[in-house]
Amino acid sequence: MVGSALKRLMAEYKQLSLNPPEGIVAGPVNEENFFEWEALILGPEGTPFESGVFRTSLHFPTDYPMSPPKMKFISDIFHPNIYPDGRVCISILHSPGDDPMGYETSAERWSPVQSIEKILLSVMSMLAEPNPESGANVDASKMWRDDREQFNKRAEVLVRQSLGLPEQL
Amino acid sequence: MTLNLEKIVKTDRITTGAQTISSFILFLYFPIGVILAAFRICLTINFLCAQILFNLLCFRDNMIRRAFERLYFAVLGIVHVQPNMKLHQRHCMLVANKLTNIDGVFLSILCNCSYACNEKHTSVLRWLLRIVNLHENPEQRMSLLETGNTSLLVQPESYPTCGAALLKFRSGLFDNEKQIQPMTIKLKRPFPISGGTLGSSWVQDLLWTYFCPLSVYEVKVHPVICKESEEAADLFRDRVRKSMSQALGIPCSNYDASDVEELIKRKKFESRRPQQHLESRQESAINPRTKMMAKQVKDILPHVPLPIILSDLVKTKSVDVTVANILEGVVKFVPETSISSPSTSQVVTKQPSPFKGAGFSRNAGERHMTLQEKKEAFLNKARENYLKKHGLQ
Repeated sequence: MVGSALKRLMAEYKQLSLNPPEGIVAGPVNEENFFEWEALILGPEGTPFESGVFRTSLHFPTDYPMSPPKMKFISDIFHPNIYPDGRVCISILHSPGDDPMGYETSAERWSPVQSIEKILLSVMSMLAEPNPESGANVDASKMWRDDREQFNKRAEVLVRQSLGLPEQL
Repeated sequence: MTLNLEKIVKTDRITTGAQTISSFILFLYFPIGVILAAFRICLTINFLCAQILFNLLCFRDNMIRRAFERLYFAVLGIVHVQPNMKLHQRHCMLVANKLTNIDGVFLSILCNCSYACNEKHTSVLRWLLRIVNLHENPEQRMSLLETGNTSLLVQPESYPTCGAALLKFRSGLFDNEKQIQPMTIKLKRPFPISGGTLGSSWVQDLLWTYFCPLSVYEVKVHPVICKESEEAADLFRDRVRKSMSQALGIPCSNYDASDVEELIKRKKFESRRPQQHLESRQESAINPRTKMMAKQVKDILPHVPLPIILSDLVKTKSVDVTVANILEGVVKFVPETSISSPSTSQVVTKQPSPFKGAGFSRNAGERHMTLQEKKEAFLNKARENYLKKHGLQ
């Protein structure tokens, strides 16, 4: 099982290197352990997170692609669908069995047909369009709904932080 | 009409429904039927010779000939009962429904008239049984009626039905007639053997008729229908059809001869399919373990078509080797388009990726270095963009 997971991860790594999607760089943290990946996601244009480069970690189970990987933001992020500790709440990362929010259809869930690229693109579109219904971060949900200006300001700070720039220029 | 065409035109000769007893009796009867049919075929040759004799002696309408023909038919298993068999008018067009491919010939001999049909028969048969081919000589048909020598029987349905409904009548058969004589026939047999089936030939119908101990035709002659002076041909056709369907107590269907032809074609096409089933059976001959392995490979590489995985697995007998073969390009394939998740609406950014085309090294260290470089370049590019956007550079 570990062998096939490794082979599939290798195939996906190759695919992502040769044909990288827009705004995404992903690969294993080190060549010794293919089950720990790091991915950089560019904040989509025209959103509060524009130009930010967010560092995320992906942890793959040994029975990948049967089970989905676990994804976590390493960079600080303030977003309605990301838990304060960085865990991402997105349907593609849930196996069809578990449904913590009870609203997802199984078509949007994880299956071996999905891929790392699809996960990262989903996360990117999630950054662009937060889903306030599944509030992983209640404060962020509230702010995003009620005080967008404040939310945008907060996002701006995070973008600078992610780029290694001082908070005030 | 909600009646299905396949219920009007039978596809199976023997309808064995819930009546298992009658099919059992049919099974027992089978050898007798075959002997009977053989005997009747010999008798038919005898009958045809007698017809030649009658024709040569010019007994067109003769009491002896009538009696002789009826006797022969009775022995051949074709019996008719008719409440009123007298034709209302001589020398006019007879229109009848069609139940088998041979009842036209039978009826025409019975009514002492010519029979117009679509099928091509040899000239000897045509002369003997007074058959007029519609395609070959339409003039002959006209002249037959004009000279007033005889009546002409037509079956405008063109295809035999099982008697559940009337098909639409063919155009051009009696469009020019001033009056026509409708006739209706019903067929009863002791066994559930239908008279004519989808695409059956007259030979088949004749042999099955001979096989049956008895085929009882109920022939009814209805009052002459006159065409009204201003009536259009198709309206007249419909009127005749309606009156015949009422007389038979069956509905008029919306299907016509061309629909039946389509059905024949479709059935032919479907009958060719079993070959494909054979192929799939070969595929299932691949043992279940290989299938399990194929499923594993498919899970790892969902974009690879299953037949290609299977064909390679049969050779390698190992999941790992097959996966390696596919990844290394030893096995060629056309990728399947995978079902993309509806939630992944892709965000399109305008700038082209600056990292495209960077190769994928076989060396782990090199690969890692490239990745680190890429990350760095990615971050720098984003930072640059940010500063440019905010006019801070």
